Amino acid sequence: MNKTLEYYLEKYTGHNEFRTGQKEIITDVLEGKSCLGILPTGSGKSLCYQLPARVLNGLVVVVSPLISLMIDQVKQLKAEGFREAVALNSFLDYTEKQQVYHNLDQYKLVYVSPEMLQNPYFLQRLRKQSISLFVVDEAHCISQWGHEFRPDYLKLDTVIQDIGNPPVLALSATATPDVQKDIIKQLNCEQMVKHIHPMDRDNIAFVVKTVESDKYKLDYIAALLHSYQVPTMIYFSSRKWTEQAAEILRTHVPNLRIAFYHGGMEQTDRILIQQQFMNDQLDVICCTSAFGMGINKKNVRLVVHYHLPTQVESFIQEVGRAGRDGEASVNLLLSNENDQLLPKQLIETELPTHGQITMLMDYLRHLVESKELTIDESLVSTQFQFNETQWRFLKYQLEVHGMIKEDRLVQISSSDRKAIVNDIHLLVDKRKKLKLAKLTDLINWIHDKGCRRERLFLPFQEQVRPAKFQCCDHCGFSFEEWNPTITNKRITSDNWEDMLQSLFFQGEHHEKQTS
Amino acid sequence: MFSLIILDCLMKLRKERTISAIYHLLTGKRSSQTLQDAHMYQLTGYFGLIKSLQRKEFNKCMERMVKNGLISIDNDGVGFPTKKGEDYLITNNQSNILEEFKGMEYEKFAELFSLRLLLLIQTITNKKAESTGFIALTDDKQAQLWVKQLYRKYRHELDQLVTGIYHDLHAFLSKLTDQQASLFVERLTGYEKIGLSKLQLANKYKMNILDIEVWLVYIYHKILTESIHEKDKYPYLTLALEGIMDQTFVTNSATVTYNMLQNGFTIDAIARSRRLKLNTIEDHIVEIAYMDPYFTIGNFVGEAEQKEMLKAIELLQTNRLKLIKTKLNDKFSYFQIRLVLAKHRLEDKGSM
Repeated sequence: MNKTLEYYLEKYTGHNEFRTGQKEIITDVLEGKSCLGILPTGSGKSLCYQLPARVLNGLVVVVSPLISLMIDQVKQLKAEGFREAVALNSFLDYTEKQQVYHNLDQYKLVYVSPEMLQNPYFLQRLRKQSISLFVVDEAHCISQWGHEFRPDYLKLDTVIQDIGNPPVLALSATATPDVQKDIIKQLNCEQMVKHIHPMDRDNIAFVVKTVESDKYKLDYIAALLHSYQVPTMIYFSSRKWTEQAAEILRTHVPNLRIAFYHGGMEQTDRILIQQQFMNDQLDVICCTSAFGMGINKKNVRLVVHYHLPTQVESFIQEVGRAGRDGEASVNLLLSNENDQLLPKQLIETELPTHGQITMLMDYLRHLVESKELTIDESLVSTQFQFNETQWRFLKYQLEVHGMIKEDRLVQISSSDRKAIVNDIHLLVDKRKKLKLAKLTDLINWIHDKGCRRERLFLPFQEQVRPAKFQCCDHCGFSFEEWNPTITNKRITSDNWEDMLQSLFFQGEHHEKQTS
Repeated sequence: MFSLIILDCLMKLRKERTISAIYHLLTGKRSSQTLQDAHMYQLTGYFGLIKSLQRKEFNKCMERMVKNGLISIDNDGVGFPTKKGEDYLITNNQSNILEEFKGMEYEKFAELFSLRLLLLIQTITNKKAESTGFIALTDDKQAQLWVKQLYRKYRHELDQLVTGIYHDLHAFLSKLTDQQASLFVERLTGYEKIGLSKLQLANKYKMNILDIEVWLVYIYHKILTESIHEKDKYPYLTLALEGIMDQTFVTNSATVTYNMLQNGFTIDAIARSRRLKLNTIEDHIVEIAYMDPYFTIGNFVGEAEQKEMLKAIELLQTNRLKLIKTKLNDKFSYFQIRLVLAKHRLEDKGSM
């Protein structure tokens, strides 16, 4: 069996060795066991179902909350020659969806958004397939205590039952022991085999640098990039900032190749920038959290946080993009007394306000009274200015409270309505408090005097390994002692004839390679 | 380059249109007004040059040109070049570079051609390097299908194909300035060489992003012109033209109808001799009117009648056949209305 596994690995991916944790999970999965896999970012979680999808008979269904990520992954799989993979999500139009529904038996791996699994017709088609494995990616989304709670995930247990109880594989990179328990409970899968791997990264040093105000942050980064011309990612919390910072840094450090990346760019440009960074054609990326998911660049040496994320879990994920090759890498967080402002604003916009909720409920009452039982979701969203996260939250609450059944409004008494409004208000307050507490955890970490590595990872695991290189600024880190491996820059000509020659393998200097 | 185009448009529009007309022209708006303007003022070359151009961006550019003293815009939004603008246009368009834009002529296939070429280069250079895992730079299904088929055909002569495309491109690019050639080559994606985004090109060459946009279009139009007119000189580039040039009509049956019309047959005669319904032949003729810019519909609808219909269409602000027909007191048949819409490149919204 083991020999076969490595054979398949080599055959399908060209690698000859599994990374930590992969083989154990895949072995269990192939034996039909349900598993919970907690593997650190960048450890190749997706292989744990992609390989089984190729080997097993039947269909592997993967629930993933991130549409862009599933599209990227399917593209990558197709590039590797795995054509029986497809992503099913709201971006497809009616005919495209129908085509997938009717040819389900021709696929081996289907990625779906959680919303898609609420589509009765799709479920009916799924029931006709033999499902070999049901994968819950980013499984922490199922937990109210997780950092990216997705109400849709709570319905997954019913879906699993509905499609005939296939083996389940729940995967996450960041789940505290509480969240792990919650995942198992919510999926109703007590018999899950647990594969929990420590998420601390012993080759990354943690540095917090306090500066007087935001305007010194870029100066500091520029000075650092002058001395260390290494593959670098700089995280910002707004799209506009990534653009501005890239421009400013470009003038400060003109010999570095710097670009920005965010979710608002057009598809082609996003692919180009991503690929350039992968291919060492870019040195520095100024990005939002949209960058990095699903790409696996091994030699990122420096990750900088210009702005704070809203919680420790995201921070750990972003930090984890550094040093995947195991070499000495650094995370630098730039801090000042206004650290909390932006993340707080973000948290505010993730949930609807009391006012919005009250107005929506009035509007719904009006609809029901005039016998209008369907909701135009996009109209509601524009009218009450809900963003996607807010509306998803509210819609789920309306369903839970029985005000919406099968996408139709239900008549309720006015006393019930009052109670529901009250309930939702309370819930919003509670979730906001929870999110703010998570932000406070991160802020406290910044101001903590203890070892940064220990303080960061102890909530997630029992022990933290000692650092392989330098540890953190509280354990005596100094940039002088950091000697990162420098990736050799490709020397490229600016002359178009040279560029064209080398692109097409023409001219003398390519004869050797191609003959 | 972008300002040159604007200046040229303003010169030719002779203060008879607002600057919005230029915006609609550049984004390729399919309205009778825009199409008429394009023909009337000899601006067809610029039709649809930057389909994705945002109004905001366009306005910003206009403001910049006003500030630089190249143009003036009056209170009604009518723009015209200043003396400085006129001089600027004359000095910078000495080689008649602006005449090489063929927006309307190449409208149907310029983009597909460029996507085919880009994807082909990415594919064959990766295959040559025996690299399998690369992410296609376009999702366009038509382009992907074509590259797949071509690659299958040349799989065993890959070296020949790579070298062939190289020599064709080299020969073509040598006709451009170094900067133009560089822009083109930097944009290409191949094995371990990812092309630059338009913004990156703009930064590197210290140009406005709109200038980059129009330069790239300029180069592609030029490749098209060269490879259409000198097929023998560019045997490999011409491959990417396959099927898009002679795809004048969607259906073969329409081609037969077309040939018969050219030989003087009437609709009735064609229907009789081909044993087809009159309706079918009418459909063909509408299709032909849509695809062939030189096709005259005078035999089916007179000039004055066309004008009458266009006026009604403009007045109604609709392309709905039924409404137009009623408005004109059922004076014209659906066929005639559809024909006028097709000829003037207006979308047919059906008779409902």
